[in-house]
Amino acid sequence: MTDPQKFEVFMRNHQDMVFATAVRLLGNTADAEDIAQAVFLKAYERFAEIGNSPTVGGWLRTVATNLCLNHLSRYRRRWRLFSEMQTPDEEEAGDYSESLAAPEATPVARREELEEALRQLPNAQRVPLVLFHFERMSYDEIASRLRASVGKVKTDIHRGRLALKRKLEFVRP
Amino acid sequence: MNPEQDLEKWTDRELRPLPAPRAPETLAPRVMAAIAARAALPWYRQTWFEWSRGWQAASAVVAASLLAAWVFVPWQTLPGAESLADIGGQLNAFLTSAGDALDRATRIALPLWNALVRQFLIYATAVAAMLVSAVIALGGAARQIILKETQP
Repeated sequence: MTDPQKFEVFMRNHQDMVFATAVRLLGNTADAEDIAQAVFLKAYERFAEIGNSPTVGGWLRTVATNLCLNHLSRYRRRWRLFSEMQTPDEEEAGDYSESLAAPEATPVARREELEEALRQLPNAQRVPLVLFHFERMSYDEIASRLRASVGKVKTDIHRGRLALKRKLEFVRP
Repeated sequence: MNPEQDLEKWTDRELRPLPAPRAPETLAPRVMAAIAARAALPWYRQTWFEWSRGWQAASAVVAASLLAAWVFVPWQTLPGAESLADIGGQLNAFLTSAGDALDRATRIALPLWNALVRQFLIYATAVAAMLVSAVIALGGAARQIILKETQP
C-alpha cells in the first residue's frame, strides 16, 4: 500500500510540471486541473513501481499528454461539425487586440502575454505547437498522435507561430 | 536559412524560456481527497493496483493456477465429468428451445412490421433528419453569435 504522506511529497515535487503540460495543451486551467488530478491518481496506483524511478518525470509527462489528447479528441468529436463551419478568416480573427499589454510592457508582463496568446490559439494550432516546442516531438510523431497528415500539422504549427509573432511584435515593436 | 526555419527558431527562443505555470494550490488537496475517498471504498471496488502486496500476490497465484488447470487438467477423465456433460446438454437444449421461440416470435412480428411500421418508416426518418438538420443549423448560428460576443 502506498503511504499517502510520501505520495503527497512526490506530488508536490511534480505537480507544476504536470499542470504546465496540461494547461499548455488544453489552454484551460479548470480542465488542466482535472487532467492533473487524473494523472496523479494513476501515479498513486503505480507508486510502488514508479515512485523511485529516475524516469518518473517522463512517465508523468507522457500520461499527462495522453490524457490531454484523449480529452481533446472527445471534445473535438463533439464540436467538429461546428468548428468546420468556421472560415479561416474567423480562425485568424483571434488577434487578441483587446487584451494586449502596452508596448513598454515588462518582461514578466510580456511572458504573461505570450502564455495568454498561446492559450487563445485555436486547439488545432496550439496543440501541435506545444507538442513541437515544449514536448520536443517531431512533425511525424505529432501527425501520428493527432491522426492528421504531416502537411496539416506543419501548416497548423506555421499558423500558430505567425499568430504568436504578430502578437509579440505588437507588444514589443 | 529560409524564413520558415527563422520563424521556428524565433518561436523556440521565445517559448523555451517560459517558466512552467504553477499548479493551483487546490490541486494537491483535491488529489489527496480523491485518494482518501478511494481508500474508503471496499476492496472489491478498488483497482487491483490498490490492493495490498499480499492480496496482489495471492490473486496472481490463484489466476495462474486456474489458467494452468484449464490448460493442463484432463477434465473428461475426472469423476463427475459425466454430470458436467449432462449440465452442458441441458444448457444446449435450453438454448435451442429459446432460439426456436425467438424464431416463432420473429415470424409473427415480421408481417406486422411490414404492414404497419415499414410504410411510415421513410416518412419518420425524413422528419427526424429535418429536425436534426434544424437543430444543427440553430446550434451553429448560436455558436457563431456566442463566439462573436465573447471574442476578446
